[in-house]
Amino acid sequence: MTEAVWGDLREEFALQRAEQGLCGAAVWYARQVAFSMPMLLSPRPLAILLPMLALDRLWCLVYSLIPMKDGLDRAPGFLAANIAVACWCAVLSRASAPAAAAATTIAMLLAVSAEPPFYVLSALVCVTAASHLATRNRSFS
Amino acid sequence: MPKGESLGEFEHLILLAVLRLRDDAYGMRVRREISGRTGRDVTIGAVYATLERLENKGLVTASTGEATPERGGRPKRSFHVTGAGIEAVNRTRQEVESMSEGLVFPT
Repeated sequence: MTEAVWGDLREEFALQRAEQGLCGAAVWYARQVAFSMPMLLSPRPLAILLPMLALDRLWCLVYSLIPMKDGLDRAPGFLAANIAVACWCAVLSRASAPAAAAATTIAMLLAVSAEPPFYVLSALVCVTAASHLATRNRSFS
Repeated sequence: MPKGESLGEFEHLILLAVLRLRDDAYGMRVRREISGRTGRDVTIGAVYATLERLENKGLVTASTGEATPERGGRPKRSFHVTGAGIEAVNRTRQEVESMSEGLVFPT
């Protein structure tokens, strides 16, 4: 959708320039961009990012309560729960696949512990695929 | 009727603009149609946000056209009102007419 918005702005800028000159058209353009941005910025990636960060903090708390733990590496079950929740959030939020991938990457960068490569790869692939399938099914329905 | 099924004022204007524009209903045209007829200063962001909401409600459908040089190589996103959209417009018009009936408006 964003591409279409920029195309519309460019097309109308030419019309505004013919109607009210370059300065008037420039003011019109700046105003359109400034007032349109809050409406076009989607909160959808946050619907993936925030639950993943919340889960990360929850697992930190859970691990801090285990007295005789072997190490700080998280059990695969915790990481699988992260991926399942992120996929579910991606489907519910209807975020686009690139936005879902970006939100997942940011969530993993902001995570407290270092994530194993297998988890990073699985999370990126699963969340992006879930988001892609959700948006594709929505466009067919 | 559930609350989600009724049209907001701006949604109603957008649907009427898309109906007026027929096959030429895309963001820029819709914005200019509403601005020209109502005198409102409408932003393109508000138009697209509302069109997306109407699409989610099933009241309009969108299709992506070809990219053109005057748009900087960017495609148009055209909109068409669905049967449910026409029903919603008619229902809203009937509601307004029903509420206005018999009222004496101060001048």
